[in-house]
Amino acid sequence: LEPEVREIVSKSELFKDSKRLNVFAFVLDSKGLVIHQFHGVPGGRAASASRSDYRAELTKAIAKIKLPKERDAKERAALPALPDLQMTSTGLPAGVRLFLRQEGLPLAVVETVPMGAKHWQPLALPDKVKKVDAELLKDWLIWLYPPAIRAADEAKQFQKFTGDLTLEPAGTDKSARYALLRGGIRLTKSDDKESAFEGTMQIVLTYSLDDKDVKSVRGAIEGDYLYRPRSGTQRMPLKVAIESRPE
Amino acid sequence: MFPSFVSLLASATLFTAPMHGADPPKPVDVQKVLDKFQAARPTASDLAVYQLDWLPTLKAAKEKAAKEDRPIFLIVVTNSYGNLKTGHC
Repeated sequence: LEPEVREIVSKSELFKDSKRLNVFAFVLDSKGLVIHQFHGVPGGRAASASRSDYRAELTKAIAKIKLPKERDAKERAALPALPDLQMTSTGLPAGVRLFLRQEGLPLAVVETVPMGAKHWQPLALPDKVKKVDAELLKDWLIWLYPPAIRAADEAKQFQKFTGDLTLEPAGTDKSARYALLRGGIRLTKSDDKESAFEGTMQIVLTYSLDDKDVKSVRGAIEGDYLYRPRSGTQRMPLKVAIESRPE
Repeated sequence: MFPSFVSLLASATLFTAPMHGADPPKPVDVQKVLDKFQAARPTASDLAVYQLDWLPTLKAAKEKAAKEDRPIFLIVVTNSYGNLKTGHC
């Protein structure tokens, strides 16, 4: 932490609260003075002593300050875009972007995965159905865990990637040819005492009419993160959308 | 990952989803998966938090706040691991 941030936190009323968790939120005025603070773990309308309703807290904060004029269209256009990947010169997508949501939580995780020709080659348009080793997709699959799990769990990534994925031609239309990559996947760490993921993948791969290289990817993964923090297993349903980038 | 994250408070820009053009019909199984993708992909408003002008340090945020006369929204997470920029923390 920056020393100044550490000082703000350590001197705050939030820090003295025995019910505090590990997230702290502050609103400062344009001179850097703290004018409002609240526990930073979101609780929505069911906020408790240690969780906050962000909408309500930010409304209180805004009442204490004079907001500047809204940004105009030019200023808004200059604001950051979503995490993304830059176009490459290979003609292949630069990689994929994953949007991951845990059931019951509105905020999505956004991860980008750069990919090169060696990653795309196994996904070239096949002549007939073929098996695909889930290990080939491990750069996508390592991200299939929910936010706000224990740091020790997050720090240890999945190590084994198994499943029964197949890639098969799925028809053509006037502008493109298609293949479907689908099947079950299972992701594990060292043993069954550690967290894992079980689910199904369904992906559409698009190709031009005269080339077998992948042009784009769209699909979804649905399944459960089997959270095993200490004892027992908690099933945490996850939905993931996958898209190639850039368009 | 640096465990604090700073943003100037700003109204999120919301966008509407793009209209579908007159694409030719796709094979049925392909369309079913594309529909599943659309259902799973968050909308632009769900993702607005990523389009705020987050800055990596309070020092940088204070400089920008002073220049633009805007307030600062400071979130501090004391985890030792995670990535606030992607939401995986």
